Amino acid sequence: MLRRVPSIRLKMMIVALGTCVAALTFAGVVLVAYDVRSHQTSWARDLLIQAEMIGRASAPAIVFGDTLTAHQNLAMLAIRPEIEAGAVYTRRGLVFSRYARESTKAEFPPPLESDGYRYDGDRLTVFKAIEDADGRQGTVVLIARYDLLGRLSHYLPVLGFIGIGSLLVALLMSSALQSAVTRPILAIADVAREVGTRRDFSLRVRKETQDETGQLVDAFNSMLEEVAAAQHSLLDSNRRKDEFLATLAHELRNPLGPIRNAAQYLKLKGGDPESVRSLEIIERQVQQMARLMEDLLDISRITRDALELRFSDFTVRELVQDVTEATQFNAQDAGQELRVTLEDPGVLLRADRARIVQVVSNLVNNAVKYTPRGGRIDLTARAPRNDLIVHVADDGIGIPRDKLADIFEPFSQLDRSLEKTRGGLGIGLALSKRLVEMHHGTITAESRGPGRGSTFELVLPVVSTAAPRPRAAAPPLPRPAGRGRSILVADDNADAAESLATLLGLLGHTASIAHDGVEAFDCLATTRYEVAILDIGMPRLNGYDLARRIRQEPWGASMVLIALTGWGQSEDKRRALEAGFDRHLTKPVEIEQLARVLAAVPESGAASRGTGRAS
Amino acid sequence: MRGSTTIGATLLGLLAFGAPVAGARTNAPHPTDTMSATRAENAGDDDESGASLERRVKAAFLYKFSGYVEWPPAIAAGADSSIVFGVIGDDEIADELSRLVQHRGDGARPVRVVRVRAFEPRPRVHVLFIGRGESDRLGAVIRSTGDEPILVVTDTEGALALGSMINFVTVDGHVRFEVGLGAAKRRGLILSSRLLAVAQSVTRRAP
Repeated sequence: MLRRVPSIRLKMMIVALGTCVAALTFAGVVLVAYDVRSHQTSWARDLLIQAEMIGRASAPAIVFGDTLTAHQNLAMLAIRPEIEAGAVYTRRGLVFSRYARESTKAEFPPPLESDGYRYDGDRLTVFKAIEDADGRQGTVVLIARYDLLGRLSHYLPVLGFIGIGSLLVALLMSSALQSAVTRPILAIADVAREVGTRRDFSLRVRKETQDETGQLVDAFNSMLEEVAAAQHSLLDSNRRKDEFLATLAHELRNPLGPIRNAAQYLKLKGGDPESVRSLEIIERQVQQMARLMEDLLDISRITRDALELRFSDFTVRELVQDVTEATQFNAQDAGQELRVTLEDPGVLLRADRARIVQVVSNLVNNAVKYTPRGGRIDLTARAPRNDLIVHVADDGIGIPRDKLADIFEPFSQLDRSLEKTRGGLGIGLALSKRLVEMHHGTITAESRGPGRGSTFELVLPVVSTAAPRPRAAAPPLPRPAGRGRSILVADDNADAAESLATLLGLLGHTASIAHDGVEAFDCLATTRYEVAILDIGMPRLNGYDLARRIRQEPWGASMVLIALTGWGQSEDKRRALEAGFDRHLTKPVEIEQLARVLAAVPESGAASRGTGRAS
Repeated sequence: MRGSTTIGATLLGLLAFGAPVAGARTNAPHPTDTMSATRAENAGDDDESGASLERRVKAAFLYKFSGYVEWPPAIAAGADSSIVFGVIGDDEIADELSRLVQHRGDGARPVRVVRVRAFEPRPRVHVLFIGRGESDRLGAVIRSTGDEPILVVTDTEGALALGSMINFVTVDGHVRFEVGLGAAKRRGLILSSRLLAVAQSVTRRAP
C-alpha cells in the first residue's frame, strides 16, 4: 500500500523545526547583540590603549616641540587599517600633529577634557590625555570606523552554518524520535483505513508501548472487537430474519395452490349463485394473499441480493395493458374510475416487464386502496426521449408533507390506525422503490396535503434504443385442448396433488396421482404417460433425481417433464432444466398458464425441449 | 636610536611668530600645517617677561630634561627630595627657569634653582647649565665637576667633545639639542630613549 506522507509526522517535524528555528533565531540575535556590544567596548578599550601608547611616545615630542617624531608616531597607525585618522593636540587644544588615511577626510573634533570614547554613527572617536610628571601636556585623538557590517559578514556565515547544522540535527533527531510517538498512531490510522475500505473488523493494531498511545491502541482494538461482535450478531440476526421471511412466505404460499385449485374446481363444476360468489371471493382473496407473499419474498430476495431482472422488449401500450388487466377489477370493485392516458404507446422499452408491471400496478392498487369510493385515478404514461414517465394520481386521502419521505421505507404505513381498514404489510412502496432503483430509475411522491390526493411519479430510463417493432399480436389465448393428455401428478402434499389432478381433469386431461418420487417412477414405468408434473421436494426420491432417472429410461426420453415447485429462483430453474425438466413452474400455478403449457405439447407427445419460456 | 638626520622639527618656529618654518630634515616630508599650533607652547605660561623667546624655550627645555634622566640612587632624591638646577654664566636663563618653576601647578615635584659661579663652592646639584658666558673655559668648568653624577647642559657649539651631555643647537632657526650619551654614562646617568628620540643627534662615544 502506498504510504503517503502522513500529516502527523509533518506536523511533528514542523514543531521540532519551528522550535529549533525560534531558539536559534533568539540565540543568534542575542549572541550578535552581545558580541557587537562587547566587541565595541573591547575595541574602544583597545583604541584607548593605542591612544595611550601614542600619547606616551609623543609626550617628549610635544615637550620638545618635535613634530616629526609625533608624525612618525602617528604614522604607525597605518598598521591599524580601521583607524582612519589620528591627531596629537597640544595642551591648549591646538593640533600638533595629525595623521589621516588616504582617501579619508577626517574632521578632527576639539579634544575633550576627559579621556574616553564616543560613538558617532559607525565612527568611534577616542580621546586620551598625554601626561608627564608635570601634568597634562596634550591630547591624542583617534578616529576609527567601526565596521559593523564587516563584523556581521564574518559572523553571519558562522551563524548560518550553525543554524543549518542545528536544523539538520534537529530534523534527523525528530524524524528518528518522532516515530516512537507517531508509529502507534500511524498504525491505528492504517488499520482504521483498512477497516474502512475492507469492512474487515477482524483487523487489530499491534501494541508496542505501554504509554498513552498503547492505551489508545488497546481502546481502539477493543472498539473494533465490539463493532465486529455487534456487526456479526446484526448480520446474523438479519440473515436469520431474511431466511425466516423467505421460509415463512414460502410455507404460507404453498397451501394457496390447493385452495385455489379446489375453489376453481368447485366453480367449474357449477352450482347455485351463492356458492359461485363465495368461490369467487375465495379465489380473489387467495390471489391477494399470493401477491402479498410474492411481495414479501421479493423484499427478502432484494435484501439478500438474490433478485434478478429478466430483461425483454415491450411497448408502453403492452405495459399499460398489463397494468390495467391487473388492476381494473380492483378499481371497479372499489367503485373508482381508472382513467388511462397513453401518449407514446408505440415506444419500445427494455426492462423486466413483470417487475415494471408490478411497480405500476402497485401504485395503482395503492391509489385504489387510499381513495374513497367514487374517486378517480389517473394513470398517465409517456416516453419523451429516453425515459419512461408514469404518473399515478388520485384524489384520495393524500399524504402529509412530513411523511412524504417515509412512505418508501419498508414496513411503514401512513397511519397505524388505518391498518385495519386498509390492510397490507407496508412493503409495497418499498419494494417498488427497490425495483425502480434496480432499473436506475426514480420514484417520487407528491401530495397537496391530507384529503387532497397524491401523485406518484415514476421515471425510468428504460426506453429501448432498438427500432420500435410493429405492434405485437395479442398474446394467444390458451388453446382449448385438442385432445386430453395422459398426465401423472406427483406431490407429497396429497391435497395439492389431488386438486391439481381434478383441475386437469376438468381441462379434459387424464390425470393420475403419485405421492412420492419412487411411487411416481413406478407409475411412469408401468403406465405410458405423455406428461409428468413433478414436485421437487418429495420423500424417498426428490424431483431432480426422479427426472434424471426418467430421462435414462427409453420410455422417458421423449416424455414432457414439468417441475412444479415453490422455489422460483433462477438457480432452481437452472437446476430443474439440468435435471432434465422441460418446464419449471412456480406454485401456485395459474390454471391458464398450465393450460397454455399443456396446449404447447405436440400431438406426438414430446415437447421440443428447452425452447419454451419457463416462468 | 636615530642619526642626526632624522631629528624632529623644533618648535622654534614660534620665534618667527607664526612664520612658516621649512622642514629641517632632509629625509622626512615635514607637515607644515601643524607648526603654528606649537607657538609659545613650551616657553612659559603666557609670560611677558623681557627674556627673549629663545631663552624662554631653552629654560623650558632645561627644566623638561630632568624628567628624562635617571640619577644614581645615592643622589636620586636630595634631602628634601627636590631636584636642584645649577646655572652658570647665564642669568637670564636662571631667572627664566626660576620663574617657570614658580608657575608650575601644585603636585609637581620640588625643584630648586641655584646660581653658581665657576670654580666656586656650590651646593650639590642634579642639573648644571653652563651658559655662553663660560664658553671660553667651558672644558675647564666641566672638568671641575669631576665625576659627579650631574647632568651637564651647555649652549656652546662643540661642547659635547668637552664632556657636555646635552648641548643646545639652533637648526633652521629652531632650538634643538644634541646628546652626548657616553659622557652621561660615565657619570652614572641614564638618559631616556624617549629623549634621545627627539634629539637632533646623539653621540655615543665618551670624550
